[in-house]
Amino acid sequence: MENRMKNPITVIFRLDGQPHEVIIKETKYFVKELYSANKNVTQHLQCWDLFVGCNVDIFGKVTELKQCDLKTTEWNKFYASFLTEMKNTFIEELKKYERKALEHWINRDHTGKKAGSGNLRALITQVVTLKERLRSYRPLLSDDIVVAFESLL
Amino acid sequence: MGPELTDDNSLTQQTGQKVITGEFEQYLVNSLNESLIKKSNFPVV
Repeated sequence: MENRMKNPITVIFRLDGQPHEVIIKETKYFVKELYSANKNVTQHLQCWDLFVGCNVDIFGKVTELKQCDLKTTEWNKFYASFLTEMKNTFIEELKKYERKALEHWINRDHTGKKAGSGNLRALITQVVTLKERLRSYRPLLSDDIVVAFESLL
Repeated sequence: MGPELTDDNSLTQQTGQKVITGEFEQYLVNSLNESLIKKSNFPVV
């Protein structure tokens, strides 16, 4: 929103190392790196950080990604399902060893309701935490689960 | 066959296919990146 006018912005995130494209009012800008609008996140964004609903810093303005194309939706859905399956497998195993219920943030669903809204970074963080926790009980099993899931990629 | 500890303190499959270092998050992201390259070039818009 600028001067009470909504300016649709298109962001094309390139995976091939080329600069990402930011298109505002039919003008195309090239940026080497994208950053989160969350100032606590100082590293530049990877494709795993992007989802419909996330806030990106576009030329200093907080910009929420509102929608994505069909291919991106499929991509997001595939990896969100993959990581959720992996997460659930770790949770099921951990239930056998943990006496207390798992914290809410580890159980929280990040697949998203809207198309392309799976928060893949949050899912990665959950999987990493769960894997490390299972490793303290069953180190070999925690690695086996990872290897088994990797074969599905 | 499950993974086992090697001399350099990393985990490896007994088949020798995979090596898992302590930095699991980076390892996982690298695996996802590799699969992304393998599958296709998805532009994110």
